[in-house]
Amino acid sequence: MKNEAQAESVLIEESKRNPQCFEPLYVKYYQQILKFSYRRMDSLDDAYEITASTFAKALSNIGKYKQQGLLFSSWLYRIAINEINQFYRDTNKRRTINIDDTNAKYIAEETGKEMQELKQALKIVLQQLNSDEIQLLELRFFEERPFSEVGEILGITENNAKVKTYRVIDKLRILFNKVS
Amino acid sequence: MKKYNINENHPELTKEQIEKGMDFSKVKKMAAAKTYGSFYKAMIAGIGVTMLIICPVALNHNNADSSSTSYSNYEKDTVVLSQKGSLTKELARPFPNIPVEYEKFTIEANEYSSVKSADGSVIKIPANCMVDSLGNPVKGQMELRYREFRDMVDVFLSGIPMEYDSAGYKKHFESAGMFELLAYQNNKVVFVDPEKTITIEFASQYTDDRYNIYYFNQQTQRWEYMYKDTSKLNTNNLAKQIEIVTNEINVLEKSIPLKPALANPKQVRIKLDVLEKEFPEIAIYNNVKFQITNHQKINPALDTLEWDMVKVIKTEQDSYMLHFERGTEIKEFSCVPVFEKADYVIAKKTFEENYKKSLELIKIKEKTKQDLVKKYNAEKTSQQTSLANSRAIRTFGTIVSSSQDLITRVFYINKFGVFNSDCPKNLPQGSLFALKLVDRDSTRKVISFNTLYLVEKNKNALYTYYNANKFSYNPASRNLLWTVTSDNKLAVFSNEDFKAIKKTGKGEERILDMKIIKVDFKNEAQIRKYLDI
Repeated sequence: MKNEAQAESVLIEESKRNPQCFEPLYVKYYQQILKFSYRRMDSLDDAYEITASTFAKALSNIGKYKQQGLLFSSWLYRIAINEINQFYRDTNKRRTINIDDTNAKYIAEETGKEMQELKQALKIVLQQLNSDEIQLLELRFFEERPFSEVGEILGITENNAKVKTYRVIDKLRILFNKVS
Repeated sequence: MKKYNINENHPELTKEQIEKGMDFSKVKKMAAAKTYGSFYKAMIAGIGVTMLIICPVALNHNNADSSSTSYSNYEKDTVVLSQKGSLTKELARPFPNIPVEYEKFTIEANEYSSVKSADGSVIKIPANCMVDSLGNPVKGQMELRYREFRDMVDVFLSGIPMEYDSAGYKKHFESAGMFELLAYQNNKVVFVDPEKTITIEFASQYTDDRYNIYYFNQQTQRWEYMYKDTSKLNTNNLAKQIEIVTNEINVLEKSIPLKPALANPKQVRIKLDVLEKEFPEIAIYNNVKFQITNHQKINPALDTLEWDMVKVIKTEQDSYMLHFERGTEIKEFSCVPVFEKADYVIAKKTFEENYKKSLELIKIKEKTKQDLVKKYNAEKTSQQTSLANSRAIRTFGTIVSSSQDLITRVFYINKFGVFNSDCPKNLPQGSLFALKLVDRDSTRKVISFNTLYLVEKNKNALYTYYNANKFSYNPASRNLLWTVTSDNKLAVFSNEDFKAIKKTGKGEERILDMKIIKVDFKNEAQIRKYLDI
């Protein structure tokens, strides 16, 4: 694992001088970023483009990336989030949220809501959350990321990520009650 | 209202679907377009009418297929037609009637050119370095337009935002040098061939090495990081040469051979291999021994004991220490390098041959250093005079002297536009309050504002507060705050005014009595006078 991290670190430094060295990093993270984008999109073609532009931006800004503090993967997710937001701003399309039974299960656990009613209710109450709140739900519950990673991706502390996420859960509880 | 599309149980991506989108060459092209191609987003000068036309252009003349990428963001490259053709023309300049003027230079596109600005900066352009909007080489005479933003008044008048988005965090720039370079032929904008590099040796008064080079992306209106400014190391070529020669002299001085000494048969002597780089003064000799000099009682068994480490340490000129270490036991003895009789004769000969040579070599290097220092001082004086003259001209007779050393910050660019050697900083901290501005005259009229400008005069930093309802500043700094009123007047809050601010609770509203300068500004010098910058 340490060797892998070292190899990645070497590739990052080399990429700053030679863009071709970025290719192994692209291959390594391409699938993660594509899936990440696709979960926030209706169209797979759009997800391909977001993924390509995420890596293009990462490559053109690799000189800025410092290896202390922020994981390379988190940095890529951060760029992907910006690209997705930019995409929705540019196209004026409605943002897409993809929920599946597994996601719903985690939210059911947290909110104490019965699974049968939850999915229907979720479709209503999610409309009342802002995009930051949706982001937190997606990262933590739909993608099951640890709070430390959620914090890194969003540029906030782990503790802050935790506090904010549970505020969203509290909000969901209240909204569920209103819906029912 | 429905804000989101909500999909249920989105199908998992298949292996084929994943592989279909994998295309590193496309990523590279897009990255190249972001890094090098954005100058094609620039503008073409139009004469007569000011208008904005947006149309697609090729991103890179070498990659005809690069424009075939389907993602709309990367096809939205624009050509802007403007009357003046400035890259910054779309910026909200606080006084549109007072531009920061360009210097113009006519050069031959096919020949190497080097031009010097009034402020002493040098622009070096390789031959055949320009292309037109279709990527065809530009030949014949062309015009360079160059301007520098040397201080906060220049930056303020340019309207160039000095905010920098660092991974989502808003920072403000502290500039060590900013300029704009454009090129035209027959009033049509031309571009730098991405394969070529233009060098700008910017005469900067800021000698720190904590700056980075940024490019102002006109399309996004944001600064983009380019690379670390290593100017201090690379720039002042003469200074660097002086540093190199000084180091060479130091090395030579350390390598002057030590005069050999004959061993005393009554004293304890130890033979050790020493590293040349540690003891260059004895490295030319063979069979050097270290003879213990002090009168400490020496254990005769010393040489029969096995030590973990035995080393020689140089303590002062011609003085050495023998260091023995075994576990926690340490023994140290003063010593001198000596030679047994036969070796001494050879060493003496070696010394005589090399000692004079070393001194002569040092003398030659000292002379080279003196010549370089003379050149450096002459160059420095010339740059300072040039800068002071240009400042004096700008301020209509006010003599601005610059006692600070100038250094040359080197920018390597392969696109035209605005470049900056900068250090992103946080907004000043210390005192924070909600803000209301009023005219300090008897009317006490409330001043509405969009943008507030705060300068810390002790730094080259202009902080902009857009539609700020909270304002923070550092009471320890020399502050100057101003805004432009709706009728184009300057409203100023001076450093003395800041000092008179009484403490309030954190975040509480404070009314700042602004002094309205009731002057219709016609030129930069007037603004400089009233802002005292």
